[in-house]
Amino acid sequence: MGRAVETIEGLAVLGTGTVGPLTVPLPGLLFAGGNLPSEPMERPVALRSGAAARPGERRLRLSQPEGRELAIDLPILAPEIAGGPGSFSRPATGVVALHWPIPPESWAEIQSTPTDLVLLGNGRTLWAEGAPFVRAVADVRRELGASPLLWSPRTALPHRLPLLAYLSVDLADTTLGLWRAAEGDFLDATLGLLDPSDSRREGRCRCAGCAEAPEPSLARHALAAYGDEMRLLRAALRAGRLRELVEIRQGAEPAVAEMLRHADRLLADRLEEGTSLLGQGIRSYILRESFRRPEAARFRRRFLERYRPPPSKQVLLLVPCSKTKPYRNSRSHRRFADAAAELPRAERIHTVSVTSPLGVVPRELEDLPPARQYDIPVTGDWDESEREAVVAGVAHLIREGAYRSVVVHLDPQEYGFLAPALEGPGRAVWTRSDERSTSPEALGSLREALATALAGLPGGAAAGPLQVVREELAALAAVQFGREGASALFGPDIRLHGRPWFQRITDGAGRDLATWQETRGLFQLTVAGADRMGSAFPLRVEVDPSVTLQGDLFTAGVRWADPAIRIGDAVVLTRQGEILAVGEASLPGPFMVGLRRGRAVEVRHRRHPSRAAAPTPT
Amino acid sequence: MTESIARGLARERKPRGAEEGSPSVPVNLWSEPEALHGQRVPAFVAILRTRGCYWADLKGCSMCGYAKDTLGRSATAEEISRQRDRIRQAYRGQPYVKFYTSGSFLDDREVDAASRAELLGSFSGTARRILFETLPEFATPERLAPLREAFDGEIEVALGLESTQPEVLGRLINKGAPPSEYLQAADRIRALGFRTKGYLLLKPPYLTEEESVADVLTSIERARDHFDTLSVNPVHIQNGTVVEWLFRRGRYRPPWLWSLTEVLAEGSRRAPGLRLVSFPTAGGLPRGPHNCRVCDRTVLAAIETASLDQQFDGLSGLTCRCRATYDAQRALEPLGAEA
Repeated sequence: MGRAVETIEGLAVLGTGTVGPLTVPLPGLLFAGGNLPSEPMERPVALRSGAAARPGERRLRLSQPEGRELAIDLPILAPEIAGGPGSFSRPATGVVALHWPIPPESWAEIQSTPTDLVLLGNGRTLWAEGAPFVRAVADVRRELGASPLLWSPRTALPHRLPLLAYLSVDLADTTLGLWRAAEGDFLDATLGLLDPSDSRREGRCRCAGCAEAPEPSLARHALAAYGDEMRLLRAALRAGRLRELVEIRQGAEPAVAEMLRHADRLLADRLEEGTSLLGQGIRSYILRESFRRPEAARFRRRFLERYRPPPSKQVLLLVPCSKTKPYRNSRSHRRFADAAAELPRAERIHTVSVTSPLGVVPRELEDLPPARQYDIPVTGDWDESEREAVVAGVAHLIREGAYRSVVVHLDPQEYGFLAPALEGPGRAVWTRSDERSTSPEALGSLREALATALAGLPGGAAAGPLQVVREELAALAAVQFGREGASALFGPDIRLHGRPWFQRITDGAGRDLATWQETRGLFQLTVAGADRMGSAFPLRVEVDPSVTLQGDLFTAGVRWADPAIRIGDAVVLTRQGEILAVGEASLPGPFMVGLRRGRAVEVRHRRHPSRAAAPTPT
Repeated sequence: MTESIARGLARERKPRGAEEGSPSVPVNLWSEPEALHGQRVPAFVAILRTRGCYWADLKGCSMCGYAKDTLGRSATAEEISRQRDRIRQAYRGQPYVKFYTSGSFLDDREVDAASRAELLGSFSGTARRILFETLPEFATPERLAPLREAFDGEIEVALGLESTQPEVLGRLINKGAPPSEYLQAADRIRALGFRTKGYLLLKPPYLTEEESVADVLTSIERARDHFDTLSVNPVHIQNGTVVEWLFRRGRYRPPWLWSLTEVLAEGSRRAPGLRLVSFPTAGGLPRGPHNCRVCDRTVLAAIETASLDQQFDGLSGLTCRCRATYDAQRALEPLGAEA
């Protein structure tokens, strides 16, 4: 049956795996030699060896209580002598053992039999080589999809567990940790290795192994370290914070950092695919690797690809970001707003914050995840990638916007790198001389510059504040749905209802099309809204003809799903072109198709029965 | 089919002629402790520089890098004769003399028949026993009989059997002939009145420590009736070999000396009457069989004593802290898809 998913992040799955007679929590530990840690565990799996038929062959036995056991018989592999590219074997039903790289014709053969567990036989060697390990994982997931469990024997150490899970290696065995313990190493997930005598003297660890008398047991400590880290990683994964933990664990061993860099390069699309569109809590973005987090990279990319400034915005105001999110609620941003409050046509000012790791954030995107959910150390130092992102964002605004003038309320010493990007719509006016953005002088200068800019705008049939709000929502919708979808939704007849933090959009006939809440940052559609967008809205899930839609849609009922769907996306459920319902994606599109178990879509709104398509005969 | 790592390495390590050592000078000469009919004696060892092992050029064994000590062409009779002069100059009357060629002494392409007879004959009256090594296909009566005429002492023919398990010998060590051919050759050699010595390899690549101990013990039991002496050679890392390639990638560790002591102690118990010895190369070094730095010298000394005196009791009493590491890692090693 493979993997059943509770939640995912990156390539990691929190859930349950089923292989033959075994059912294991994912990510899960395999206990080498059957040595279990002292604390109770849910469905522990023992990894033992058995007598192989011939020398050089391996028999691995995975067993659980009540006599459930999976025997894996691996053949002799000596490719350095035999030659040729990698090979594979079927050492047990539902199990495939790979010796990567696998030639293309072999993948086709592997795909012809259902696979619940992939054993990356030379994973340990590939890990030592760096990038090949990531390439191997990428191949496995591309060729065999999301369903099979993946195990790389003798590769895991406690501090490597978060990264391995993030790369979709579901099973980790304790062999290497016990190996190291036998050599006298004290495993520490934060520091990698710690001198055993130092840790002992300071009582670093309270585990049963460390409490053993007369000599602490490094082996039992290693088991406790695996258990601790597994619990931490599962908690982080449940909270959507696995990536943070992976970044933190880079400090324990350079190999973890290397592997994360390779993954950000070679697996970027896969990692983004498994990253939810929704924001949760406040997340810290500290390291260089944080800048590359999938949700941050996606925000920057969608901004450049999909976003267009509202056409009524004619004065671009660049301001620094704030620690308080959304920025508009911060003390500094309220004072910037106050400075312009009484000015005529102030709604024409487009306030855009300059920040890292997102580049630039226009006011109307301040609630779009992760713009509301990030925190960074602020020092005034910008590294090259951060500058590039800001410059690219500003250049995009200036190219796509209808600005007549630009006011820059940024410290000229810190943001001098922006000057070349600002050439274009008249001379940019810099309103600060130092690092203080809210000093009376700075605010006075800001007000003066904005007043001058607004006074310089041409007269004529100006759109009022309400029209500007419509444009802002349409610009936001374009980032979520794409420009085509957004312009279909925001036709001339639409009406806005509600408050700034909760918007309801209706059509001319008063039918609800979509809603938007600031805390969520994404639109939710109704069936009418989906109808209206029609073919301009691509995020479609085709429901299997045999399924009667009651409640949510599960993966078994998915016939096809757009691979562009991400967790949190508004999706339409269709059957032979007919829209049945709309909902929120619980899985990325490829997982909806690839997994045999789990909820695919949380259905929000079903078409009224009288307008449903005729039931398909079964 | 892409070329195997083994094949590429075999091609790379093949000598290129001019830059190699002088064809008139043997590769190496030394004296070492040995035993002859229960008596400790010094042995004189000569490594002849010859064309080298034909198999190393064709396929090559996974642990053998001796091809680097060869000429890359056949040595002339004149060159062999000059090497013989050097050997005679260095010889100090040791009763036991051993000839190796980085190949087969009986391969005519390495040492021609006349030179073989002359070389052995030159030790008549001084040496009591002469040993040389060969692949089994060259151990024929036609090649062997003239040597008995040439030398008046005992002749001992050594065969690199390595393992009696066909999978190990063929797929992991990459030898050309199956074990049965080695056993038959040993029987032929004995029938001609020569002594036989078999080398067994401890820890070929791809085997775990545990499997390699079992492999040697199995081999001892199967080979004991065909050989007068079995000598256990724990692998040391030679340049330009598959073993070295794996070693550099963290996939091979030379055998522990604990495995060797176990093989000798248990092997001597299973094959009473057989002469079982081991004289490890590079013992105690990172690229040779080793335990930890603390106990290597003691354990190696015990192994030598046991080999020379054929008394193995002393091997069982050895202890060191690293024994626990060894036991733990030996139990963990089979828990993966690769050794």
